[in-house]
Amino acid sequence: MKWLWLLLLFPFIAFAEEKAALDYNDFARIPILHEGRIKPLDSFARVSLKKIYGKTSLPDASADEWLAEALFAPARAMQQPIFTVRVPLVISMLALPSRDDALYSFQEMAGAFALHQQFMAALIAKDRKTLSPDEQELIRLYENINDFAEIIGTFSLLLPMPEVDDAMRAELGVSSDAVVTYADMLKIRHGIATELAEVVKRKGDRLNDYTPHEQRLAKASYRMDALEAMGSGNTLLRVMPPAWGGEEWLSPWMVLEKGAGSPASLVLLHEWQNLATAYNKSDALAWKQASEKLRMAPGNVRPLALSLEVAYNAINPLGLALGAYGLGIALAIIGMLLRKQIVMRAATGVVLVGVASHGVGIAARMLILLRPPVSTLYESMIFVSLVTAAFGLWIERKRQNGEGIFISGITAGLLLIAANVFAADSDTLEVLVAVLNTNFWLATHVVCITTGYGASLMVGMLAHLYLIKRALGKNELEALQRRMHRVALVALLFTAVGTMLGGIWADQSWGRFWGWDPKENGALLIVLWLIWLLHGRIAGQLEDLGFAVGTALINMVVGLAWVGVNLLSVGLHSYGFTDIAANGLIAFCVAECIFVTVTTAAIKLRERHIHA
Amino acid sequence: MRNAIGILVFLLLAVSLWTKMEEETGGNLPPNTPTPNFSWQTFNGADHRFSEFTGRKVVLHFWASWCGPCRGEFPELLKAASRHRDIIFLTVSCDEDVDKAQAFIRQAEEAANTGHLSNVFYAFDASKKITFGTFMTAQLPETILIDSALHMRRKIPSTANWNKDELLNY
Repeated sequence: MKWLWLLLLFPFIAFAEEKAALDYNDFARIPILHEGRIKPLDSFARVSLKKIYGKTSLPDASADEWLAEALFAPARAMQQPIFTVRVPLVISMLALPSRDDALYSFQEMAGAFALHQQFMAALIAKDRKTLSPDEQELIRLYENINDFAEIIGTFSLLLPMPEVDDAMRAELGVSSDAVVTYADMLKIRHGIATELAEVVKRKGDRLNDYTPHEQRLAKASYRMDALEAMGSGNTLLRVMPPAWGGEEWLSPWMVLEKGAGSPASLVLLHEWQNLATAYNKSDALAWKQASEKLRMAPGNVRPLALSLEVAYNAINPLGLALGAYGLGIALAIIGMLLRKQIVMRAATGVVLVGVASHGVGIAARMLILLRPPVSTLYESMIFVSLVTAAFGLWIERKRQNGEGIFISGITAGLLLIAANVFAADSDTLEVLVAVLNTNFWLATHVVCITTGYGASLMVGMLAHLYLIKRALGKNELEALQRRMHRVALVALLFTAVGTMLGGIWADQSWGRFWGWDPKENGALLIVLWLIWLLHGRIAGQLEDLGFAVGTALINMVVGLAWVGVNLLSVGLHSYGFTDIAANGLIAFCVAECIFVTVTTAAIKLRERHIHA
Repeated sequence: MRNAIGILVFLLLAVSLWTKMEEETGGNLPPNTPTPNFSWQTFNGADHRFSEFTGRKVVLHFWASWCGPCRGEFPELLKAASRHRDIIFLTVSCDEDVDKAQAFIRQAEEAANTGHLSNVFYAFDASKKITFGTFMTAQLPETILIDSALHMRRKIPSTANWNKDELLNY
């Protein structure tokens, strides 16, 4: 628990009392290597704050403002109540006071965990799968505290050393009012150690026997030892580009520990120090200058991509799309109830804006990550969501009765919500494992197959609409049947071609076309399901209701093939296991079965009643 | 259906173009940045500039008499310097005590049995202006290999193996 040092060291350093009104535009764009990717500091701040606090901003501060405070005014940041603890058992175990907002400061949390060091060590040593939800919550909090401690300790080597006296300043050759940091003190480290060793030899280790200068020597030496102990292993904020080749960015402490310093890294460290000083003096001009220089720091960085990512974070085009889909659904319902064409058109316009925003969001992600649109489960969800929204617009163009907007709005919106729940507090712009990166066949395969998923979900939703309308005795069912048939053909085209492309990729990557992997079986199941339905209809074996029931159930088949096999933890596609996704999938399948059973029973009852 | 096939073909072409673009981007900066033209002093107080070595390969080595690993390494460095007379060895002492530093050099020259070499220079940097203030050297010993254009090519944190002549083929 290195962070216990923080409780001892930081409160005695003077920081700015008030938050300064500073321009965070350049600060947000400073590059950092985090989770295998060079990203803007803004993304790091948002991901970190979301992990700890649950949201990407505080009520009175943006993520960037929060990060700046944590880096440059850690004593103040330590008192901010930002750790969310919602589990009552954890609150009582840590002896935390009960609060309505369930928010606690680092100081409170670190103090509470300090009393349970042995228990936590034993808990961490256990297999995660065997832990209860309460124990998992404890570990989550503990990890968050460690991450926060690393963040506030990042620039501890640049923070003022209060023990420095005039004699030390003279030895360093700086003026009596100059701020002296650990990094400065390294120049006289050996001298201090030698002098202190002589003092101890002469006077022993009783601090009261020392002169004021000797006492300051001892305290400075102690602080340097403590800072080193705390800084050792501080690897989270990797803002120093590689100065001697390679791709590994380092944190400031890592540069010292690994002996990786260079003239360039020294310049960079000075700029960080200027930034810290400007922050604590509320000097807006110096802040702007230092953050601009750091933003332009050398390294294998694409400044435009960083700016694009900051804009992506700020605008949140997928959030805008979700809002547009919600509004589109509401307008479509109103339009259908009032039978007002103008309201239907407004709904179409709003969803069109949503699709445009959604498309821009996915394009921005492609440019930021330099990879095709679908590479992770999260990306497949947002891509399928876009496909369904676009299909809805296509259907609406043909019929203009609000149905296309309604069903596609629901599907696209739910998928975006599911993607956000699935991503939880992780970075959605994550780096891929090597096997999934840079391959033409893989890229075409996933884009094709996910487009097929989208088309399948749309035909499934059309079937839902058909079942509801038929159960309610509505007309125009034949047109709906024709549309289901047409969209089912499109779904079959994309899923069949996508599955074959997947085989070609598997042949290139793993040396075999087909290996009966659960994911391969899942994709094949969708293709076979669609072929069965379409042939059943053409051959006359499946009547309208049978075709609609089979088509409605394809949502479940897609859900199991797409997300389900990932949750089995077997096969070559078993990534992204979460309890939330598993429970959600089970609930979805149960709901689908209930829906189909209830609507089919209602249709049968109704039609039997009419015939009677 | 024709539309769907058109979309499929478009998607395949777009992704193909994208993956081609992706293969052509990337690459790292080469580690050959210019060495700062710092000033340095000999033990006698004579002032020099680093740029005086332009046109010669330079081995920039940081050491101190109180540094344990430096004691074992320095004689080996002197032996390498005697084998590579075309290379300049600028050794920077981080000592505070000039006498201890000079005694260290004498002992190392005796141990290496090289005597005083004309391609080995001794800089005294008690204030750490060069060591930490220019090169951010926080641990000793440390060596930076510099080419004849005075570009830094490689850094060796901690002890280098001076018995390997390939070390100096840069």
